Amino acid sequence: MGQPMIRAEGLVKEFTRPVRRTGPLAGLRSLVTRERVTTRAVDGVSFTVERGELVGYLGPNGAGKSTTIKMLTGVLVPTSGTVEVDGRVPWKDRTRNARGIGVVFGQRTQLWHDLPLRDSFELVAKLYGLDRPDYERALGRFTELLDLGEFLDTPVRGLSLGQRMRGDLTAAMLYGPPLLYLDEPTVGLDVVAKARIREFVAETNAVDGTTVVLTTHDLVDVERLCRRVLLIDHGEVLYDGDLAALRRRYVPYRDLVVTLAREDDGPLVAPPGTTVVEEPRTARAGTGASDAARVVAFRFDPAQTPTPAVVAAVTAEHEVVDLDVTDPDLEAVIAEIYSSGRVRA
Amino acid sequence: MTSAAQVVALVAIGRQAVRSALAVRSEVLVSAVAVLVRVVLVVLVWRAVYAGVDEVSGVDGPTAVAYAVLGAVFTNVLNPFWRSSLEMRVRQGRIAVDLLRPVGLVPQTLAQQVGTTAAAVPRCVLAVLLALAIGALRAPAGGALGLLAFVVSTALGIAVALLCNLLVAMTAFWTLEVGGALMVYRAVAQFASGALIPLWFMPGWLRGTLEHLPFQAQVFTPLSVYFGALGGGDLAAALAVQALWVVLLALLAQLVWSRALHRVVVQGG
Amino acid sequence: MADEAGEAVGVAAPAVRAPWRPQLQEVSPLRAWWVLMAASLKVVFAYRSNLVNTALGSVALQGSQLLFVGVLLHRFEEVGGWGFGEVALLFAMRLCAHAVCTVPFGQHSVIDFLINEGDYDRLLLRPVSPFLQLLAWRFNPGSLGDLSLGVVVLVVAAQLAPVDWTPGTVVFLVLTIVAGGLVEAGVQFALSSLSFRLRATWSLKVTVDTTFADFGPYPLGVFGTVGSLALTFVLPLAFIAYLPATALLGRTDELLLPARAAYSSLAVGPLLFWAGYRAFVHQSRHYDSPAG
Ligand SMILES: Nc1ncnc2c1ncn2[C@@H]1O[C@H](COP(=O)(O)OP(=O)(O)OP(=O)(O)O)[C@@H](O)[C@H]1O
Ligand SMILES: [Mg+2]
Repeated sequence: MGQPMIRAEGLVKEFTRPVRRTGPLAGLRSLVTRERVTTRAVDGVSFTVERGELVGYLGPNGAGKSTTIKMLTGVLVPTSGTVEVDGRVPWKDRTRNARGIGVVFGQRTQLWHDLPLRDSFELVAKLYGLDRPDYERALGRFTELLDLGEFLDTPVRGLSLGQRMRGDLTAAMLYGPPLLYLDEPTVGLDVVAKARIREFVAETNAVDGTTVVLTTHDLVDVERLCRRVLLIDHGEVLYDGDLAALRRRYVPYRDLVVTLAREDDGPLVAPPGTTVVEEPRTARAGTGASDAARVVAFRFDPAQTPTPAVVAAVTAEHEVVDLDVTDPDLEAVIAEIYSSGRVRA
Repeated sequence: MTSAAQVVALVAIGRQAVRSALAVRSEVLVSAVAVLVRVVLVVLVWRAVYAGVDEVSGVDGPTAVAYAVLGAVFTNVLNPFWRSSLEMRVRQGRIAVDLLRPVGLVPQTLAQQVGTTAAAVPRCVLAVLLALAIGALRAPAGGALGLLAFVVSTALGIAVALLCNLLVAMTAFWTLEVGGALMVYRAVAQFASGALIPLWFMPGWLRGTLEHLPFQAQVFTPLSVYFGALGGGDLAAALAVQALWVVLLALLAQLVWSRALHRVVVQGG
Repeated sequence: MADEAGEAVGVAAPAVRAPWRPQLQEVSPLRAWWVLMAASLKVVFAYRSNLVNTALGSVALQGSQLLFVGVLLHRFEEVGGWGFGEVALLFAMRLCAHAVCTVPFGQHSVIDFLINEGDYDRLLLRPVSPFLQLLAWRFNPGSLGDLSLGVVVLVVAAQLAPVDWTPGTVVFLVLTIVAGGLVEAGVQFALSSLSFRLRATWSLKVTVDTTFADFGPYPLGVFGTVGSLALTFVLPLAFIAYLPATALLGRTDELLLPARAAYSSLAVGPLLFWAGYRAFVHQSRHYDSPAG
């Protein structure tokens, strides 16, 4: 083996469309002249995904995520650049590529609208050459894992969004593809449904060793599932690496949040390597502190100043009734990157 | 909402229909070429049919050719016998939104159809010019008065066509499977209106039957007026029959519409 | 928070399971087409009243043209020198060829929709040729109307037409009808291929369809020299029914082309179909799946 599951190099996709005119006689004018605009949805993206990885492919709306996935799946032909999936060029070797991948687009079902869910599964089994005993085993397994029993015989058009998504996931995994693409699989689902889908994806990755590329705007999905993330915007890769490292690199600080025993308003002494951050916070319940208790944070860079040292210094200096060490949440990290458009080197 | 504001809203809907009919360049070009080609082919066929024949059923060659041209143009400009937006909106369940608008649904649908019809006018003018150029068409019989009668009759014919379309589209409130019924309607209307072949050529029994249907008031009557086939008394009678159909169909549409509305309200769409 | 991630995965992985990597069999294109077609037929037959309605609608539409030609011949007795029986045979051959096009290949009519709504994505994600999947996308019951009316009219017209039916002429008739259907399908797929760039080819295809239907039942001579050549080499209407019909009716002397051309449909049909198919496959490279 040794070859990566996915290798993309300098991937570019441009879309060209005619300009729609407005104003008087717009229709007539667009008859005689032809103006076109070109958008670069993906602009030189390169990355590799190893077998068994679970990668989060993230970026703001319109970043080019779905467009990339469509090139990886063979739906779109790249404008330039190369892409290889399991050693094949998806759009050239489309049929064989399709047998080795599972794809779920959260926005658009691939099930047969007018047929019961079960019929869609049977069709998939037949189209991929899954024999009967294997099909029965797979269906049994996924029915249990995703709790499909109740609506297996309901026509797809009668399924709720969450039920449909579970159906789509099953259809994508029935034939055991070693690679699974998920483009917003949790969009519009309730908490329970999201949790179920996350569990399923985690298990598929852990037990079956399925390589997963996941696109989502739900950062809980990312935190629960992805060790590695790829961040893109305007069609370019902003960051590729460990989720923890991203956090460390982009917001290299940690907060020691303490609830002070006394309510004095005076300036606080910050031990070396820390700064005081005073934001409105309330004391945690069950600590015995009054509602009016003063809660402050000491911000420090754990790479420079070890956490125990900060705790020791702060508790030596102040009388505290409660303390907590927090990492900045991912939401803030991502929001910061999206709005600044760059990752700090 | 004042009636002036309603008129403004309806005009906007109509203009939107014109715009969307002209939105895609290739579609505009294709529909223009299509009607021109059809006119040429129809002329060729009818000239061939009349080769070596002077008159059949009291109709001479030039009249038959010109009739066929106008029949093709009418079919195109009326854009009748086509699926209306109403039926589609009922199927897509968007009717509830339409009902919330301050303008009645029936005027909305009619405004849309009028808009689509208006969008067809330029290409049909081209078709008429082409027919004149190849000598397949002549001015209407009876001078200015004849022209006036033709215009009136055409307007009534359009009204009959729009109302018939509306009635057929409203069946969508009762059954979602109207596709087949619409095709039957289109076929029957196209033949029975005289758009394909004038009623003059039809066997007596068939013509007798068709004269009792509203379809001949859509195309055959205006074209008969154009060719001066109707004398004074007959002309007045023909126009009266058209007007009668407009009234009858409008009343029927009103009745069906109130039933449909009742259905929507009771069943929640 | 890193802990939480670990926790979730821990919960998700229950008792040890064997990895799911089944062995997949090869599936032939024909079998894949049939699997999909069977599913589409199942849907159509589940809505039986719609099936009947739509089939009747098609019969009515083609029937109105038949009625028109009938009335015309009733009054004029001949068109372009062809009598009632001859025109009837031409009409029937055209309609049967049309059915050969619509029954298996009629789904070209949904291509605009598939491309603009992005449903074409689905066809590219399955391990089956998108072309075959398109053919089996739905089943249009209207095509059964075309077929039944076509067969009925053909049987009647065969009695009326001055043709000496021998096993040879019957085989020629059948083959030529299939070839005519392939001509129409080839043209429609070639036009459909433009959808990948133009997005809207619907009215173009409807125009061609109605031109075939409305002007197919006349001997080509009525359109004059230029018209005949245009309807042979620009829009290949002549190959659908007229040319082979002249062979059956012994009228090859009225052709502008050598008499052998009357048999050319048998080759032109498959060729045009293949060309239409290639155009479709070639242009599908330009598919740009709508965002979403
Ligand atoms: N078929 C198309 N034609 C024209 N432009 C397109 C097309 N598909 C995508 N785009 C454009 O390309 C850009 C990237 O779109 P894409 O769907 O890949 O974004 P995304 O990252 O998936 O966004 P989202 O999070 O909203 O799903 C957008 O600006 C979009 O408008
Ligand atoms: Mg997307």
